[in-house]
Amino acid sequence: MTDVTKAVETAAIGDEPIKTAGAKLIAAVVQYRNGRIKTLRDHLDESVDRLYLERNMRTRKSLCDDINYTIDRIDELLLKNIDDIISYEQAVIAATEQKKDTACGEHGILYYIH
Amino acid sequence: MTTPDDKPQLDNADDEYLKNNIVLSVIGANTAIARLDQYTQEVDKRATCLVQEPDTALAQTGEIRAMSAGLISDMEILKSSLDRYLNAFEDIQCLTQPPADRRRRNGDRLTRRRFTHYIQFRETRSAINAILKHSMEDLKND
Repeated sequence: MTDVTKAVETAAIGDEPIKTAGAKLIAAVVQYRNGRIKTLRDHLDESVDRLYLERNMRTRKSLCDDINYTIDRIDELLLKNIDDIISYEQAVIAATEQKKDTACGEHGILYYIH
Repeated sequence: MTTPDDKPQLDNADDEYLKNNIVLSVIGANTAIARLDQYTQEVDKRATCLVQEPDTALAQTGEIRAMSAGLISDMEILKSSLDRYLNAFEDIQCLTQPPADRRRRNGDRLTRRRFTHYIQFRETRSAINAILKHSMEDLKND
C-alpha cells in the first residue's frame, strides 16, 4: 500500500468523499514530485551542456553516467505518479460501482483500495 | 604540411558521420528536455485543476498518467541520444588509425567543429518548443 493510498484512506474515513479527498492528495504529491523533477531537469540540462563541450572521452562517459542516473531518478518519480494515480482511480471506480462514494465508518476505505 | 596521400581516406566521411550524429544527438537531447519542461508546466496546471474542479478529477489524473508514461519514453530518447553521441566518437576511432600526431590534430579539429555544431544546434530548443506547443494546440483543437 502506498503512502497516498493510506492518506486517501485516512481522509475518506473522515467526512469527505474518496474522489475529492483523493484528488487533493494526488494533486499535492504530484506537485511535490513535479518540483523534484524540475530540480533534476535543471541538473540534467547543465550536464548535457557540459557533455557536448567536454573534450575528454573519459569525462564524457562519466557525465553520461551521471545523466543516465538523473534520468533513472526522473523515471522513478514518474512511475510513482503513475502508481498513485492508478491506486486513486481504482479506489474511485470501486467506490462508484458500489455506490458508496462517501465516508465508510465501520470498515473504512481499506476495503475499496487494493 | 601534409600531402593528399598523407590524408586518411575516411576523413571527409568521418567528419560527415560525426556531424550527422552530433546533430541528431543534440536534437534528441533538446527534444527530451523540452518535453520535460512541457510536462512540468502541464502537470502544474492539471494539479491546480484537480483541487479546484474535483468533478473532472478522473479526467485530469488520466491525463497526468498518460503524460507520465509518455515522458518515460521521451527520457529513453535522451538516453539513446547520449549513446549515439558517445558511439559516434568510438566509431571514428575504430574506422581510422592515423598517426599519433595526426590523431591529435584531427581531435582538435573535430572538437572545434563539434563546438560549432553544438552552439548552432543548442538554439534548436526554442524551435522544438514552438513545434511541440503548436502540435499540442492542434491536438486540443481536434
